[in-house]
Amino acid sequence: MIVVAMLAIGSLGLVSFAGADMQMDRTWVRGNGIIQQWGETPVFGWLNVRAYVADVNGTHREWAQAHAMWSNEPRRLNCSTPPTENFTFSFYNARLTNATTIDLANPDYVLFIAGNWTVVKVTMDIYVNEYGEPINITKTLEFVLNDAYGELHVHAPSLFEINIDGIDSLTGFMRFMMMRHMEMRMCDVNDDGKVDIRELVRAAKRYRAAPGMLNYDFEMDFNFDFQIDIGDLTTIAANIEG
Amino acid sequence: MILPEKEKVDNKARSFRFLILFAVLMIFTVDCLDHVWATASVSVSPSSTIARAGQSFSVNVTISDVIDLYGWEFKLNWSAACLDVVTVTEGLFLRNSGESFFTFQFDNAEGHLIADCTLLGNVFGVTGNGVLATVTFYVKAAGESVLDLYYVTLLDSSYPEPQTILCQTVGGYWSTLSQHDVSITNICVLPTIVLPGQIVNVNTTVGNEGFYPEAFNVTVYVNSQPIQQQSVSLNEGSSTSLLFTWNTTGFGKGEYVISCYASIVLGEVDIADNNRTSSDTVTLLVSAHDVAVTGVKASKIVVGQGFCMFINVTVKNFGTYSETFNTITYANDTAIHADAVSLASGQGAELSLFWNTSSFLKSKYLIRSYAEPVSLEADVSDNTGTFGLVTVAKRGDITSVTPNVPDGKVDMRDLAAVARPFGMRPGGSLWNSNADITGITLGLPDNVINMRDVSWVAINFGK
Repeated sequence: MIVVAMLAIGSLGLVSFAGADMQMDRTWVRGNGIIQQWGETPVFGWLNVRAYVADVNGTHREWAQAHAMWSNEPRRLNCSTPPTENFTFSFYNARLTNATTIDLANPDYVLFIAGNWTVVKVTMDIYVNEYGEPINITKTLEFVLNDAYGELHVHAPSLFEINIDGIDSLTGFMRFMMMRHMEMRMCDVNDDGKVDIRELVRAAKRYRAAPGMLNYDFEMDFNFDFQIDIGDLTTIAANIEG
Repeated sequence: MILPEKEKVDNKARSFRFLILFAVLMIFTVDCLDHVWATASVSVSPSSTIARAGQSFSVNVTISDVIDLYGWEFKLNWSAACLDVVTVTEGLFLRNSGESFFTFQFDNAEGHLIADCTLLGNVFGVTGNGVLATVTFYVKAAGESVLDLYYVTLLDSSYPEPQTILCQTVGGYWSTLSQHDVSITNICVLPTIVLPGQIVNVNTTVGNEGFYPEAFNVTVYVNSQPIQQQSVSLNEGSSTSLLFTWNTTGFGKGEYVISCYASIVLGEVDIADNNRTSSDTVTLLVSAHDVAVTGVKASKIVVGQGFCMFINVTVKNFGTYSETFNTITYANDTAIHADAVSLASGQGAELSLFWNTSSFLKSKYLIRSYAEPVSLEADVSDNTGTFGLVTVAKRGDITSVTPNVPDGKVDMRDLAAVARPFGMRPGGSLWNSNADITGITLGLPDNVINMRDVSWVAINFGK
């Protein structure tokens, strides 16, 4: 379990990391957006972004994590009722694998992140029981782009676009965007400054949910395996601070 | 638009019913929430533990009177100089109800533990009492420590956002300092059926569980009357048997409770085991024919008209002959049940019966049981046992301004009286048997206060 948690944390687009506690100017960013368009095609999807920028004794340190999921079947990804029968469903997933530039001070953008992105197309076969609960889920991953250069721009007041070489631009709006000088902890999805039973229960209530199912929560899928599972619970547990 | 008069009346009646239903639901909800806030409790059990250096001991973190618990978290602090946590295991409270996820971290250098547990999936939480977790400590040095339970968070199954269940917390205490401890470890009484003037032997075992020699007194009581005392000296870790005798001369017929008490020694903390009561009572007979009703207990004092309740009657043969006799239970002057009982000398019996109130008017009834005198029985003063008054009332009418006294109408007070102990079973802190109006068999209580009981208040509400 710990290994899964470590993998989830390790998948951050890490540039450098501030370890020692010293005088520094640090900024944490967390945002969450809705994807509305892919090129000219209306789609539905989510964007999740976290970033950290610090100047530590004159040394610049930064890391970022960005993760997008969208589908040409908006009603399936953004479903409002439990499935009544087995179904097959496809969506796309883009993940920032290596951040090369993070800019919070650009006059044109609230946030700018450049780096390498991996894009996959995911096809899921979901078998449900009569209550719409998953019995078995199989997923097939098809790589669309591997380590392609891409940029995420968040404009004021709340629009964003993701331009990845090789695919059309993704555009949408930010549901919220926070910048703080105090730490935003990994897995702290209710932004109360700590990871505790509230995050654990939030994930537990969505246990076994996958994209296309009513209670799938993109924010709680910490290990990006397209299902809320024991790996996500363990990731939260590993981040609970005594 | 002008409505016909009948339609206006119908609309008014419909609106009134809706308002009543809404009010009922609001009161019920508020009262249940109030109950949750008021009663959930998380505590360290046992509250006080004594263990020597080199020993291990376990404490449970228990929960009581909680409703719809889906996830919990607690933190525990202790003296890192004296104790190390060895293991932390999940209790059965959530695990018995489905899949759960349990995690913990502890830091023996800081003396700190955090534990979390949640059910899995979109399921309801768990209601009642139980063990959340068990923590095992190793005593690495003599001393004492508060087991400080804090930052307890209880969450219910609300979706998408769980709600906090307020609770009170009670920590624990461990010590090696209470090294003075004496106890009564056993008490045996023989014979248990005697005639006046016979001797009863009371054998007790007393121990010194402390670390020092102790001198103390041991006293045997018959009911609350001391009958004999002995002084005893014991080395640490040792025990001894003491024989006491009770001469029953001068005592009247009846049942007597025998107990034994070791005086508290200087510095003793654990005094719970200084007192022990024999599980057997002593029956003192009379050389004659004599039967008696020794107790009458009713399951409730308010019962819905046409519904049932339970009555337990205990009878005893205090004579020196075997007897067969009738025991008749009355509501006022109406016999509601009769049992033929055969008892050997000194033997007792408990009769369980239920009273179906179908043929009784709404009124108060004196419940009593009468053991018919046996042949040549001289003392009939104890042949009658009385419980007291039971009210047969309108179904759902269980209280008024005066608690547990029906007032002839089913109103908000009755609703609150059923809502307050909702979910409770006998032994629960808010249990009220009058609120257990019916079970799945109509009119027969089922030892749980649930929607069936609430629905009877709702059905007759306002009547």
